[in-house]
Amino acid sequence: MSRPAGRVALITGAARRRGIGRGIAEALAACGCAVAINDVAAADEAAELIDVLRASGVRALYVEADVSDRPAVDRMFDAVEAHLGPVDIVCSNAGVAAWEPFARIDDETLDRLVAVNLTGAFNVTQEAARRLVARGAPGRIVFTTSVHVDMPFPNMAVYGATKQALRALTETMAVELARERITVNHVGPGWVKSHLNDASPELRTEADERATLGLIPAGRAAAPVEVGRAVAYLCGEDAAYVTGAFLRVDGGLVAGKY
Amino acid sequence: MRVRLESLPSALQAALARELQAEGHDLAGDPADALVVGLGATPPATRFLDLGPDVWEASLAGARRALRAARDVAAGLVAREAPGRIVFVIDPPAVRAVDGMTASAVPGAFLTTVAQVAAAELGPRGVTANVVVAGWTRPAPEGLAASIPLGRLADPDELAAACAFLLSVRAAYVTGTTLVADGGFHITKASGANPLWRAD
Repeated sequence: MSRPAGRVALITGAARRRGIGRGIAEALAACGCAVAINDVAAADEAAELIDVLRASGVRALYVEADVSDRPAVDRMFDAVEAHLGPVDIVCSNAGVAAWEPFARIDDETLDRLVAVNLTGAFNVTQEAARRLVARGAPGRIVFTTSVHVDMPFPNMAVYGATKQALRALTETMAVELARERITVNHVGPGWVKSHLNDASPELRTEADERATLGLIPAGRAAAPVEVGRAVAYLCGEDAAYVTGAFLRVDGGLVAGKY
Repeated sequence: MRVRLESLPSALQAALARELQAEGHDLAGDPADALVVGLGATPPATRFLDLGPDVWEASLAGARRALRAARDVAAGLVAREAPGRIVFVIDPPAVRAVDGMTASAVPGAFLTTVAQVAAAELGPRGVTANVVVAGWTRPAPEGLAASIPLGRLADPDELAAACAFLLSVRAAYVTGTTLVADGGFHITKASGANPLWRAD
């Protein structure tokens, strides 16, 4: 299998121990990529990840930046270029979630989720695409979206809407950047027992968790690296002709809308 | 029914107001039983690589404004234990990618999921939430007609009719769906270069 070896990958929102970002970083590192780990919090968890990666011979760097802050994003790319080289692969994964009834959505929640999940994704991928086009290099962009793209989840209107918006962003970017040999796709994880989902009412108690995860056709949550391996496929030479696509990694969740 | 119209493209706003008034609806009454909310005028075509932060932020501000309007109407309906209707109006690029139309596609897609979640949550209360994809109308370039199975741009009255249907008793059992009133644009492949680049 052809893998994205020798490339430089930037993964946003990748510090958390149980997060999808870390699973993506591990999968890309296993393919021979150098990996830049971005996050805005959890510097200690990031340091631990960097140590593990470097101990196994992976070129790895932690770059702290708030993706919703465009100048900080530009500086992040400069730092990655200086330490690892120009970025070939961007996994726009940073995201935040909230659970609120539709009629009581808080303005602050709305603004925060849109800023991180949407403007953050725009900042990172537009900067990446501009730099790729400037150097005439092919590239890979993968957004972490969600099963929310294909089915609504009550009390998560804003989160789901930001993911649907990323679906449209993916498709528009794919159409415009295909001639530049930049592919743009998105992956749709189902349940992962991540930091983000710790606040989910559907995983609150052990009984809630059994009920929620038991309904998934696969009968379990995904390990972050299982999502990561799907992303690694989209980042490799095998997926050179795959663009504008949605790859769900959900254990069958959406097929039956469980 | 008391219907509130917000942020609709001006030609659609005028056509829908005419139609709803002819059907006897009240467009100024408060509290609203129904809301038809859009994203304003379609932004001009801009390359993704050139899209400035001002245009990006303006597109998201439109999506947030529409969500807040729907939330406020929903909150009023929930408080009054009244049934109601919410219709979001979006542009074609949200359901079929069109080069240069990031600032139209992103907020439009955002609202499709807002509608679905609102439909799922508020259905038990008798509130429906749906989306109308409003096909291309003037001032969009006539050249788009070549990519539209019906071979012409939309008349604003035709888009108003789609919105009015979703507000009517005939649509009582319709919720969480997207009514694509675009002459078939979403099922086609583009014919030649995208004419929107020449729109201004």
